Amino acid sequence: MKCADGFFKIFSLPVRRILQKADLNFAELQEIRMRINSPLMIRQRGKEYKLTEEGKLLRCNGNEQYEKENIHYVDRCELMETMEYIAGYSLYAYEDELRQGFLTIQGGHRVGVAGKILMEEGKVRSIRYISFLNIRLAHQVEGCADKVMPFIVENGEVCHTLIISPPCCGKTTLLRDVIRQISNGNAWCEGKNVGVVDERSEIGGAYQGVPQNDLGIRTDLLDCCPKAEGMMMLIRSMSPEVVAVDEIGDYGDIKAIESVLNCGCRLIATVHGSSVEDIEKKPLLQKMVKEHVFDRYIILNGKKKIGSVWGIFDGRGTRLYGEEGVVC
Amino acid sequence: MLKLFGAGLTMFSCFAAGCLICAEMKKRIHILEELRRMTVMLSAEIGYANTMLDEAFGSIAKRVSQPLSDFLVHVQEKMQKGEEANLGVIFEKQLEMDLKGTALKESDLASLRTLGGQLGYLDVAMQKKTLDYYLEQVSDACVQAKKEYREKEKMFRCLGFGAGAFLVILLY
Repeated sequence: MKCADGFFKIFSLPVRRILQKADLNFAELQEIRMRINSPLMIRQRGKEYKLTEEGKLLRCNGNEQYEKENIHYVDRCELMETMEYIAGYSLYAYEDELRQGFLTIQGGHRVGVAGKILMEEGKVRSIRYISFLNIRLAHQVEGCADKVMPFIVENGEVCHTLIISPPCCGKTTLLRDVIRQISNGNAWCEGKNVGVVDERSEIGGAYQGVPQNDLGIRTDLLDCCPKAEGMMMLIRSMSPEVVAVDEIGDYGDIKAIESVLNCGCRLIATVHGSSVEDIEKKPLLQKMVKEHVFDRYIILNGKKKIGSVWGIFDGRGTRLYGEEGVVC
Repeated sequence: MLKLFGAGLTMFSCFAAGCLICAEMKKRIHILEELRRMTVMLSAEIGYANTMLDEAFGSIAKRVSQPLSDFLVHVQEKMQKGEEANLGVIFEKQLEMDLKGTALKESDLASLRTLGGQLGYLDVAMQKKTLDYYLEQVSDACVQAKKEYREKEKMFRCLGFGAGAFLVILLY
């Protein structure tokens, strides 16, 4: 698969050969983990596997005994080589990202890093001796927002929508498809100009400013831009009808959201949480919930499968959709 | 008549040999100046825009002349292929392929080799220091080369003419 081959290029040559030999379904591949002196491991369709030198997948279920299998153990050289490819031989360019503990690469995939932290004046300066990598694959699922679109569009207008979800439940994937559908237009609304602030390059997966994921024909993207500044820049210069942001949470974001709403733009945002009540406990978001800023709340929980919608509620808390349907 | 023609040809070839040496020296100065420009641009790309090296090389390749342009494009291609664990190895191989037969001296290539081995190491501040150091080296080499050219240009041309005259006298 061409996109798989392109993706596997970020790994060291020995690991690359193993991954190419392995019987992997790229569309279902979720994570690849590299830890020095530990087995090379992947997560596919919610299940964990170790890999052998021959590319064979060995299921990890706690009791396994694979003494006879030639499991591939990651060494320091392989991990360093992988880091070189991930960073394009330019680790300096990811200084800010490393401070946060992850970097986003072409395709929108997130690479979490861990190792020895270098501190400066009480703050994280960088990571030295990177020893652990967690490569989380981003998959665009076109059509995953089909079931939620009828609930977030009213009379042809997009409602202010907040997607609430715990980590790894598909909120960014859902947001991406919502953006795409609003931008292109669909059965529920005409195509609208959408402005996206993609602080961590996860929504668009932009490479050199060009989104690698399909965000629609009327979407303008601000890549690697802080959300607060990004929202202000968009409303000043790009005349968006809808503004979309991922993982709102701090004071600056909330202030910028107020400006977006005052300009008449529609807002689609996501936040970490498990319910509206959970969001109400967050001091910064409490006010927005109480003032019914958002007309729609989509709650994901990922219990059955990633992308499971637990419920869709209106601004007053009335349940509009309550079946545990899988949308992504 | 034939002897005259032969003598003329001998004189001309020796003079041309002298001119060729001068041309090589001039070419070296041109390449060193291009290397200086490349370093300044690379420093700006990294310092200002935090550009990754492969992207920076691709962008700078369009702004410098041959043979540096080809060298940078090939380095970019090799980096994007992802078959070498070390940028220094990529630089070394491309230096051998694209810059070895040019007017650059072995010392110029050695400095460039060292630069390749140090790029990408640590943080932006380190990149700037590395590039500043290389800029200093290449600027010095450029100044030295220009001085050498000024001193030796006439000498080589005259030597060429003189050698031609000597050969003519000797042979004819």
